[in-house]
Order: sequence, then C-alpha cells, then structure tokens
Amino acid sequence: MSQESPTASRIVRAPDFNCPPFTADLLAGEVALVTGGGSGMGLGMAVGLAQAGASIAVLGRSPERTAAGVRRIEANGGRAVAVQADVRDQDAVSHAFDIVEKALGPVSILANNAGGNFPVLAEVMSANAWRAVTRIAIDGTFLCSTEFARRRIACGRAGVIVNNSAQYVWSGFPGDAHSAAAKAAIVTMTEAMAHDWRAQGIRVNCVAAGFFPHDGTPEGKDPEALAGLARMIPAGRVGEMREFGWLAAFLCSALAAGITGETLVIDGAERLRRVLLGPPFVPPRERAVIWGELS
Amino acid sequence: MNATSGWLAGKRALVAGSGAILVDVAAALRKGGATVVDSSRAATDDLEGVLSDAEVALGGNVDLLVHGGASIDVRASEATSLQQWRAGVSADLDGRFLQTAAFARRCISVGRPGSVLYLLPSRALAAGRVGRATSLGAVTNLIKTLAVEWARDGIRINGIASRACEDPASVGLVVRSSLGNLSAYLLSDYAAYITGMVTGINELATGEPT
Repeated sequence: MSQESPTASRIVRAPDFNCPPFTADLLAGEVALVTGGGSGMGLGMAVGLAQAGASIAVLGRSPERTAAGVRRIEANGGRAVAVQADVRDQDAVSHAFDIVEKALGPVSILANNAGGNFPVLAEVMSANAWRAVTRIAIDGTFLCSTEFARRRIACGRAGVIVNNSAQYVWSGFPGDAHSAAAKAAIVTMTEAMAHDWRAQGIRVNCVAAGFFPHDGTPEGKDPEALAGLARMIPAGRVGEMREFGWLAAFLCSALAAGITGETLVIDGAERLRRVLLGPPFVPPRERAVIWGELS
Repeated sequence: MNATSGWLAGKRALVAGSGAILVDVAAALRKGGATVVDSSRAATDDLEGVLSDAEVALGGNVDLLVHGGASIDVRASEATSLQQWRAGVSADLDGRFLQTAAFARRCISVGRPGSVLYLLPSRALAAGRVGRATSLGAVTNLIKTLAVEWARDGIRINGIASRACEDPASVGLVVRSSLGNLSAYLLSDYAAYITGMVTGINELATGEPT
C-alpha cells in the first residue's frame, strides 16, 4: 500500500539517498559524535554526516544498538566507531570523548540526539518517567555540549553542535508533558549556548522535526499506519530519514558557517494543520489512545 | 564545481521585490544550477505580467519564486502619516502576497510543484520599526497559512528573517554566503519536507515561534 495520501497528486520528495546534496569531502577530516546514534533519528544524523565525509562516533547505552549503527555507516562506505555512555553521567560523557579522541581524533561536531518518549497522562506520570525523559534530553544535551565546548575552547578550535528537537515545541504536546518540556528546553538551550560560545567560534543550531518513522516508532514500517500518518500531514507524506540527516549535515558544514542559534523546522507543515471548525476536542484522558487515533 | 552545484539544476527562478541581498541570493541560485530572472528593480503593479515576462525569458514555467518585499522606513509611529504607513505596508505585504498568489495560480493550473522563499527583515525589535514589525508579523503568519493551503499542490513556502536581508553591508561575508546557501537549500528539493518555516541566520533571538 502507498504511504501517501490518496488525495495527494503532487507530493514533493527529496532526491534519492544516493544523491545527497553534497560530496563526500564536505566534512572530510571532521569527527562527529552522535548521541543516540545507533538507531532512529540519531542514526539518520550519523548517516547524513557520514555521507558528507565525517568520521562518526556512535554513542549510546546499548552495545548492540551502537554496533548496529556502526555497521550501517560502514556498509555505506563511512568510517565509524561505537562508544558506550549514558549521557546523564558526566564522568561517562567525558570518558566517551576521550575514547573517541583516541580512535578518531578530537570531536569537532556534536549531534545531540539522545532522547526517549512515550505517551502518558501528566497526572499519572511517575517521577521516574518524568526524570527519564527530561534528564536524558535536557541534562544529556547540556553535559555533552559543555564537555564538547570545553575541549574545543581548550584547543582553540571552532566547532559545531546540532541538536534534535521536535515540531511540537511551540504548541505543547498534550499527553506528553515530559517530552514537550524537554524538547522546548533544547531550543532555548541552543540559543543560549550559541550566545555563550559565539566568540569561540562554536556554532549551535537545532532541527525541530516532525514525523520521521523508523524501526523504533510505534508505526514502525507498518504501511497502513504510515498511510494514516501521511493523510494527516499537509505535505501528504511522512518525513524520510535522509532529509533529516542531510539538513543536520548542512548545518554542520562550512556552507552554514554564518548560521548559529537557529532552529529549523522540518515537518511537512504538520505543526500548522488546523481547521477552524473541527471535530470536538477530546481531552487526552478521555481518548482511547493518548496521542489520538489515525483515521 | 562548488558544493551547492546541482541543487537547483534545471530550475527556473524569478527574483522579485527589493533589497540589496537579492543580488547575493540570485547569485547563489545560479551557483546551484538555476536559471534566474531578476525583476527586483521593476516597479510595476502588473504582477501577472512579471510572471509572463519571466516565463518568456526563462523559456518555461517559473519553478522558484524569491521575494524580497519592500523596505519600510524606520520612523516613529506617531510621526508616520497614513500615506506613509500604507505605502510601506502595502508595498511589502500586499506585494508579496499578490505576486505569490499569482505564482501559485500558475503552478496549480499546470500541475507543477513550486517553491517560494521570502527574504525578511530581522525579528529584532527596536524603536521606529513598527512598520517593519507589523508587516513581518503578517508575512510570517502568511507563510504558515499558505504552506498548508498549497501543501497538497506541491508548493512550499519558507522565509529567512535576518539583519542580512535588510542591510547586507551590516553583516560579514560569511553570514551573507550562508544566507545564499540556505536560500538555495530551502528552495531545492532537498528541503522537500520543509514548508511553513521562518528561520534566521545568526540573529541570536529569543525563543520565538517559527
């Protein structure tokens, strides 16, 4: 079954994976550390950066997942190593940077992607659930970014950070209070760090993404679920991971050398869809599925 | 061969509106492989005519529209006459909307996708910028609205709001170059999933919705 809306006649798509927007020398010599880079959107960033020529350090908690990420990058002709760390653990983060530095050289690009998300009503959310999502995203981004910046400043070199946020940071996300807070924090952290490190030549930008289904998302590769998602998005389709990875790589490249403190949204206008007179509002608590149901 | 070559290969672009930055952006589009007609210095209300002339010059339908709007004078609100107010806001807001609607009508009528980019003034507020701020607010929400209205027609629309757009001489060459590269990227099919967005370049603004 097609993943596209049956009513859409002019759906625009990005060029194929093998036709990236840059040659493999754009980021040659750069070392990119991607947190949560073994799967999902982190892997999308890692693959995009590798296509542009960067060597990749795939950081995550799971040896299996980071190894799978490395295999994927290598299968595409890239160079990558796996490194294990919990981004909430400052010492572990510092140690991970040491390991990457020995294997590939100093990290010059940091992609903060590590995060988690699951629907839960705010009034029944446990403190552990709240902390798990917010601390991975907020503390993890903070700890990795500051470790990165200290090292770049110490060696007197410029650097680039790209953060992964979400399209719901300006609207809130009912049924997802932890992620709504965490992802919005990443946008403002992006701006503040861009201010802090402007003089040192460290650029910090962010990508706020919409639906980019992958193996770890609820709809996975289920064609019917994906078709339902496509119908609800103005662009008539979901995002494709290469589009996300390429945008991240663009922001990390010299092509964007003057861009810092910005958040670019890539969501097919999903965040903007609304009808003035729509179906009745149903509070998350009264829905069969907290995030709502596809039709 | 430059890093952006091929991004806009085969595309036909019309550059309209006003602003010195349009020269940079037109050059970036050409570097990306587009054929470009620059009508930015044309003073006309015949917006259909601008498109028709561009189609003749380009040898086919216009695929990309870049609009620089109009520069609105910096002036204290209470010292702004109705005539001055309307002249500025009309030139910027009406000019962008009417030209873009004419472009979209042509795309829709022939079943072709299209991509629009607005170059906008900075979102930073300062005394005397009420005209610019008013028009910018209107245009920003216009971008969001048109993105949804035309998404299923394959027409995308985005904006770059930056000091570089209103006064290129006030920023460095690196920022200007990045603006050109970002313009080419957003107009290209590589940004096929980006629509309804307004971004800056190096504004270090505070948490504004995009």
